Amino acid sequence: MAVAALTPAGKGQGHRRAGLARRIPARLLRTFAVLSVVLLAVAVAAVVQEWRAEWRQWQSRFAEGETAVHGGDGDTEQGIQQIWLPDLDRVDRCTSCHLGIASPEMKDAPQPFRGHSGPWLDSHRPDRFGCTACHGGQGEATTYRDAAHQPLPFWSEPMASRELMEARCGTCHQERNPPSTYWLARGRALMTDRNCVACHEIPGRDSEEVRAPRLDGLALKVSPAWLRGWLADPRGYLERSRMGDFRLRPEEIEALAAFLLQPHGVVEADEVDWTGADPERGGEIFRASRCVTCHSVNGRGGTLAPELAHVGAKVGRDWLYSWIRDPHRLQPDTLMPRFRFDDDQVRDLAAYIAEDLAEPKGLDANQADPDPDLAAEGRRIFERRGCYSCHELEGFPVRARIGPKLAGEGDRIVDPAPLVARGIEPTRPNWLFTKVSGPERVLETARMPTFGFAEDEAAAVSVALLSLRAQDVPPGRITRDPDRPPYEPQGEFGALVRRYRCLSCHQIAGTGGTLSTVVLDRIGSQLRRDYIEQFIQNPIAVRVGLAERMPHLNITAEEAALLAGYLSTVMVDDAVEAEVPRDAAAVARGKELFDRHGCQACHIVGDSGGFVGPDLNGSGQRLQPGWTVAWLLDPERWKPGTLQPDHGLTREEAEALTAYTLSLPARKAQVLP
Amino acid sequence: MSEPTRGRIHRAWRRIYRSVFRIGWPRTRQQRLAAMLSSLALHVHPTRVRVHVLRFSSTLGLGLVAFYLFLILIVTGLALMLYYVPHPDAAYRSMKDIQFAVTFGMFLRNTHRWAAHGMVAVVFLHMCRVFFTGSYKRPREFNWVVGVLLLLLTLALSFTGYLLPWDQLAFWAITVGTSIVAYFPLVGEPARYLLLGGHEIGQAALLRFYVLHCVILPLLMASLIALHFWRVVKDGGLAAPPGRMRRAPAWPHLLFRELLILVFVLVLVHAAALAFDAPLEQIADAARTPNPAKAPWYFLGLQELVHYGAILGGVVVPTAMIIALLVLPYVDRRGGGVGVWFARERRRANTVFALLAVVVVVLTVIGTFFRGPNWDWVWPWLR
Amino acid sequence: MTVLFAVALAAGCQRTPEVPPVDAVQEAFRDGELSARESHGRRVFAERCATCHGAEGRGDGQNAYNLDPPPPDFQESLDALSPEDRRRVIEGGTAALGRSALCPPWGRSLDELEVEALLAYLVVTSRPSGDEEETGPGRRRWRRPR
Repeated sequence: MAVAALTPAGKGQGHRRAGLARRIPARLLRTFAVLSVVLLAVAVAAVVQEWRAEWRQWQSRFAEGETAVHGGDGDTEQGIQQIWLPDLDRVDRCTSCHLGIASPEMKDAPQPFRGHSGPWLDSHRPDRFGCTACHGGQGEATTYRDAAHQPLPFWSEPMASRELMEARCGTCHQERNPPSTYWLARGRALMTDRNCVACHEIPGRDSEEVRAPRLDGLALKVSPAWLRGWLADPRGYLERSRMGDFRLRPEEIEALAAFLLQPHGVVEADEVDWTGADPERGGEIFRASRCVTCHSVNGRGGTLAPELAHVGAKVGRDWLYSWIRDPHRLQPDTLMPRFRFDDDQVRDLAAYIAEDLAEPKGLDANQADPDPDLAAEGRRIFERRGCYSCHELEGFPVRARIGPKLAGEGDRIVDPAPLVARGIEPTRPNWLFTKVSGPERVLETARMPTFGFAEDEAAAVSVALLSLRAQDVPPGRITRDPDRPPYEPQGEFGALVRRYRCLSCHQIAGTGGTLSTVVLDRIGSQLRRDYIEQFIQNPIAVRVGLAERMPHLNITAEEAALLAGYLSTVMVDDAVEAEVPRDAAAVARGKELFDRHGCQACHIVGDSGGFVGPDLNGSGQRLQPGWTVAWLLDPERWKPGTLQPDHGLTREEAEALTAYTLSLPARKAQVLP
Repeated sequence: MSEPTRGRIHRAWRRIYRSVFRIGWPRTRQQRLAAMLSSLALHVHPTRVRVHVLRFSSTLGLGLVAFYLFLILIVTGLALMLYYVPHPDAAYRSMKDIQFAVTFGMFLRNTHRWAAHGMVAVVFLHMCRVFFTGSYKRPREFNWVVGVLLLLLTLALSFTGYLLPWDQLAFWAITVGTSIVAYFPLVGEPARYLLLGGHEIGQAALLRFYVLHCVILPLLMASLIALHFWRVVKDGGLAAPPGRMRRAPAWPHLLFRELLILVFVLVLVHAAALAFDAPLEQIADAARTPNPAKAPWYFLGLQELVHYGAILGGVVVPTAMIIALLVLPYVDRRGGGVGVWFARERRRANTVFALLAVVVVVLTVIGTFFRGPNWDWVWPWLR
Repeated sequence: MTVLFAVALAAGCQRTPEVPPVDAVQEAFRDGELSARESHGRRVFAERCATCHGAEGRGDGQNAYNLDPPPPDFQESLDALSPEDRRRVIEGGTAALGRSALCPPWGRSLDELEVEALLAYLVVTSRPSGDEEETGPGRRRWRRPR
């Protein structure tokens, strides 16, 4: 209309008279018409682009499905959905497309409508946790691409793989062993094992113990050839070495050895008269004492303590004698118990180890004593590399923390260059993985040692490190292990527990090792006192298939009585009843239940049955009836992960089974292990 | 409806219409002149324009394009202000909201972004046009000065807007840009302090940039634009060679061409907004310096110069250039060559200006495409 | 100009052929060909089932010869069980299908995740060994619709 009016086409008398004005050229009018159409097209395109937004399309497809299944108009939510979590500073719009996420019946639907797998949403309600706090990704986004389902430029948190998601679990779950995680729990355990906390400040892990031998008196213990070999390559001597390889140059090794072999501290080895030493008898003692419960010989045996096949070539005989006689004098913090051997036994055992377990390994060719003049330089290396962070040595502070703090390590800014050079995608997880695998790979001058992690171990440690985020987690969202002080046994009982290092394998009140699955907290309610007393003196495994067996510590009868008395009176659980009715009818009913539930698949009764659970013959002499009932009713409660299945018994059934089990007579000839 | 009623409604409608448009739809030559004079929107135009300047080739319509871009920026900017929150904790999040949740939000932001970049380029080209056609000569010297100020204002508007998304790109571009300011002796540091409201870019800086970008600079700009237009008319219309005096009524010839260019600009800007999304990088983080940290592209020529010497690039060259531009019409007082592209009698002046313009463009291109980490030379196609 | 062009050309020729970068940590997570869920299932299986069924589900666990009927080789027997029945056996023991009571019920000890993981791993143990194994369901990524 306006265009028409602007083309005077003989209407305006004025122009013709003026003679100056001409019509607007047709060329311009055509251009104008074309441009107007294009502008209209652009406007329409903009509207269509907005109207055909991905989330809108998904919502209409979802509504179609709803109508098809439920008929009528489904009560599908319309518009962009979002979960706002002010305390986490997150807005998650994922549910705009993931419309079936909270519906269990959508579990097998195609994405993006699939219901959430597993029981996760029960414990992590979407309105409290949103999506991206666990999964990563860009919650604000409303398209597949922008939500960072795949890595996205300029977004540092792409959606995590299943494994890397555990790092996100670990941001709130600061327990040592967070529930339902594998890589995270493994990574944290590895970080404890390798004493990371000795050099680094790690949030939530600061109270962890650092375990490493004290270095005072090292000259009395090891040979220069061994020390050189060890410093050059710890895993060359000990495959499971917890100490990393510090990548020392030969001259550094020489200097460090010179420093370490100087006399430090006050350590005296016993003077031993080796005449009459009988290695053969020592070997018998070695086997009877079950040293391989903790130590291994040629890779066979326990993993709690070092491999012994080559130790004779490492340490001196006299030192060995002193060590076995009283390990606590040389290393107050050692896990090794002080066995009750007489001096002859110690001598024979030391002779056996020194002679028969002395296959040379990882020794340096140079056996000479290092030049003492190098000690000053060695001391500087000792300081620079932070050796004293793990190892105690007279005159040095403990736990120097020479490494950087690890808070925020999961968000650290990474230099992509070394990764790109190695053909690795320069992501943060990959950077941590590469660094953990070998610190020199990302920084040639790194002070951190190479721990020689296997690939999966390095990946686990990376997950644990990634869980250390820079942003503070709201305190209400953090779950921690209960903060209880380490258990310190008192009095005579305490002295015995320390002497025999019971807590190296057993746990009391959360303190102690995990080699033994027998937690001592309620042992008095579980086992009969006379059985405990007898077992401590002569430990015979009740499980046939069990490899770890309690060592023969040669505990005396008086000591056993004291320990058993204390355990039976103090280490009890009030929730466990002492006695349950056990009449003949109950025994018969129990026998029937025993057969019905297939208990003999795992347990031996009489001469037949499985090797999985304890031999039940004579268990009446062993087990407390109240405990047996409690155990049968809910085994997972007492021992998570146990092989004893929960049969869902009623109390009456559990009592009947107990009556039957405890009525079983002992076998005539108990097999000695 | 009865005849008298219809008549009454018609008369009432006419009364209202006439109270707004005194002339009505102009049909005669007189009416059209009167329409041009009586309308606020139109009266800044001359009633008649010289036919020479109506030709597209004589102005390329660049000044008008710049003005339209400014209008688009005002409209989209006001819409964006409804969602944007000028606080470091919320700014980036509100950008994300605009992009992902606001209806037409992304389109709006794209339009604003590309119009802003376009305006910087177009204003620069407009200045080149004015120079190459000798249009700054008497009596238009002062309007050239106003134009130079408008160029500076355009840069300032673009620069202040650059910080608002509060992403890494914004943060570090402003860090680099404001550090160039600080190179000025004596006044540099205080000026930077005043601009940022502190020594670092934080809450104070964001708010200052926001107020500058949304209130102070647009008001200044609008006033100067009005002055610029006013002076065009008062200085005898757009420059044209002295001989060509033939005139045509502004209605419809000028107005139609203005309308045509408006549609053209709208198509271009909105098509760009549809096709290309404005970048939004990670949230601003003072602890993570990108390598290289680059100023906005129109300052990359300066940054490139700063690379050769801080004082040279940060102080000497820009100051000299601004002063030269401001005094240019008063120094170059020779007549002749007005309203003609690359006039023979102005060959030397045009050559010098063209060289300088090419240097500016080349430096900017180098800074934008050929500089990588540590400001080392890179080949953009090898990245 | 020519010199510049020559330099540019020379620089262009030095470009090395692109090898896609490795996602090293993700490679390290991989448990052979198993998906994350199958791998989890293998761990649960090793903990709770392998003493009788054997680590690979061949029915050769150390306690297998104490059992009558002995545990089956899943390569031969698993196909006969529907996925629902497999779940019933895991949760309620073989007795749930009216067979012997030797395989105990784990439904009260395992959580839903572990049961799902076990079900996934059972399928792995039943596959003929040595063959190319398919990618597990957990590996598949959802692609944007066109």
